[in-house]
Amino acid sequence: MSLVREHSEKIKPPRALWCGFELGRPFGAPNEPNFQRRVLAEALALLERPEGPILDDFPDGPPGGFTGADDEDNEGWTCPVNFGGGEEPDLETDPAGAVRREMALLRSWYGLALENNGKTMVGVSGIGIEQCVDYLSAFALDPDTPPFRTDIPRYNFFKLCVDDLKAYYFEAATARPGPATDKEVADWYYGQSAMGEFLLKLNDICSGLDDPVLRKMSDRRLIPVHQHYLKA
Amino acid sequence: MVRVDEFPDEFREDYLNREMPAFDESPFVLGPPLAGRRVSLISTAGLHRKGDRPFTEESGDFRIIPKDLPDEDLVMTHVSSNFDRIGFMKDADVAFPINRLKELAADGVIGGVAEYHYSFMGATEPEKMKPSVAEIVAAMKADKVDAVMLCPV
Repeated sequence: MSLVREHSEKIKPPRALWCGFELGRPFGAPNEPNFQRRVLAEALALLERPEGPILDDFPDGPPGGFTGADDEDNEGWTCPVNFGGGEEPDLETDPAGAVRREMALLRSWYGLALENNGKTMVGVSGIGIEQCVDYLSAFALDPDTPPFRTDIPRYNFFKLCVDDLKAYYFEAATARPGPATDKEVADWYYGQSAMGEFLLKLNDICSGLDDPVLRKMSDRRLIPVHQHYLKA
Repeated sequence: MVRVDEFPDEFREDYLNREMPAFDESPFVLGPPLAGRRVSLISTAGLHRKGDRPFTEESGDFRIIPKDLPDEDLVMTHVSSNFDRIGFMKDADVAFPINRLKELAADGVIGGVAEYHYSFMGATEPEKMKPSVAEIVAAMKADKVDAVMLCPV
């Protein structure tokens, strides 16, 4: 399978099927088994072709087209919760409080996502989601706070805590039926939530550390490139 | 959405012009008809069994994914933040089509599904994966695999 045609043109694998889908979705779209099977079967059929190298183009885009803001017929994704109003803890002095408040507002949607998806990506850190918040807020005050796991490198534990929180927010935010794209949800997550603002602060802290891996991660591992305009 | 043409200019150029492994030739072999082949998947999405070791930066190692691993026990610890994960959150087959592969086997389109499948974490120098590839090749021979689908993210 090829998602970046330019790369496959250079590598020249013996047989490749290029699909113009989103990065992260090589078989098109979730919960579209017939379409996924068609893509898979078309790629496997290349094995019976007698000459190569082959770089074929899959003729279609994903089912439903590319959903999102550039699609006039689609209203696009909207966040199911409103973070505004009520008592808001100050992100500067109480990041854990600010994040926990949002998580509480999202909890019921997260529960729905769990039920609909039958699974969750939350949990890769190996600690509870509340502890992820604890660690990241302790890290913001003192990056040398001992990580809660010692069997993996600090940067790895840090990133897994970041990923768990992102999964919690993203799963909750996409619990309602209907298409949602990574860019739409990311615009909300990084640009409009306290968690996003907190991540930008953590990213800034990492960029000034001596730890070469954490410093390097502040380039594009923690904040996606399409959200880099938010960086200080 | 996450498409390369939507990356900010400097990242898009950097991404598209990234140095790729260069090969003197493209190996090309013929094999039995598809309906007789036993197929294994290799993903670079940083997938593994829940509870298995998470992937680390620039690691060239791999994780084994058994054929009948329940969907809810497959997790992702790829280090990149620059591809869509919402699809995988809802349905693992959008990145790792093991259930679709089983359906193709049941329909007789392919001969069978390998016992084991594999995942790397793709944001790694390909050179670092080389020792792992030799291990996987040996495991695949024992598993009677004669077709492999490489699934990027």
